[in-house]
Amino acid sequence: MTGRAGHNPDKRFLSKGILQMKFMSRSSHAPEEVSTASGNRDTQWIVDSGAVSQRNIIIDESYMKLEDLCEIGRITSKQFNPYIEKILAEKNRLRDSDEPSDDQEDVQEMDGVSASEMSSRYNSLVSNKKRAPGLGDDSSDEEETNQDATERRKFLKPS
Amino acid sequence: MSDTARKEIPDKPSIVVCGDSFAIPPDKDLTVGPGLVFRNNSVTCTKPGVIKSNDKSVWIDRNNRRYVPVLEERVIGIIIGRVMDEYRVDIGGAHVAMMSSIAFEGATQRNKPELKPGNVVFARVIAANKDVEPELACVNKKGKANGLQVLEGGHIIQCSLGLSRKLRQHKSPLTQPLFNHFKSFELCVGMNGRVWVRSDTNKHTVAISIYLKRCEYLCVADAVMTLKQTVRALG
Repeated sequence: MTGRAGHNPDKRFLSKGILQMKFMSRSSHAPEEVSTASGNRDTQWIVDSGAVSQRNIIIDESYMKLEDLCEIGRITSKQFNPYIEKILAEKNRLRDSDEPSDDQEDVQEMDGVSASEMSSRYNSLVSNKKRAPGLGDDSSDEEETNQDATERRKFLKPS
Repeated sequence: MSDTARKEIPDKPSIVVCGDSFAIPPDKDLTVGPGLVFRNNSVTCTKPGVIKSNDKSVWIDRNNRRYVPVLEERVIGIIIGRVMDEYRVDIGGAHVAMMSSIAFEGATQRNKPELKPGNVVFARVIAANKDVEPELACVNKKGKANGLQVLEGGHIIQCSLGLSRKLRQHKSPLTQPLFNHFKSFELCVGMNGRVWVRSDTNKHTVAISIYLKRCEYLCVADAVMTLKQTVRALG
């Protein structure tokens, strides 16, 4: 009987003496700790600056972008330093054509994945996990899974 | 305070002092630059200077002498020592910066430049936090040097941060006269108020250094006049 009570999650079946033992008290507190940890995980990244996030205020302590200063910071005359001359020519070309420079490209790459792109990619990964690879494209997989679901829902009356 | 908070950001550059506050329209996206803090739907000045603004940003233009490291800025540093695999670099700020010995293009643990105290590097600030030492690297985010390197030869002058910003402007009026007077020279301007000068002869290097130092206090026309006199005197 005690063995059954041990498997039962309801602690009322265990004796008071056992519940007060150290290892039992630990296990009883464990779920609470998990819940608090998950709560912290959500709140620890939220900065108390609601007005800033709503208005999209950017704090920039550098004059580089504000005054449109030269990023390279090197000046050379008449091929005195061909290496720098080459870099400056490339920079001027990108500036005239409004293409992003190397550093700007990196920034774009860092926040380039949109939520919709991520969800579609994740969906394809899930469908690939369910089925073996090389059995057609994602759309056909989705149709088949939908068909399976309708078939499963069909109720067969016992004869 | 409440009266000043109702003022809007002036269109034209105007002088402000600490504590001046300017209201921002409620649905306007804005970049708040140095010398300002955003608080209670308004920007408040923390430094005196000239407030400047455009459609997307507002900032205080003022001249400083002490450099405060800012992320992604390029600075000229002087190696002052080595700790394990890191160099200690003086960038003219309140704290000494650290730079990894392999933070160079193509550097590995086996193949890396050996720098000694006194060497000069043009590096990028990759970490700037008030609680930790600033960190430098001689590579950009893609691992390329892109103009960041050890600067050999030449001469370093110290100037204000405002002058270094003027020198870094595209087609700066301060650097244009140098192209007229000198055939071959090279400048490297750090945002920390250090300018590295190199040219084909030492006389020209000295003349350029004197010219740049005088640009601090003179207008461009007067500085060019002194440049001509210096070149004539040096022969």
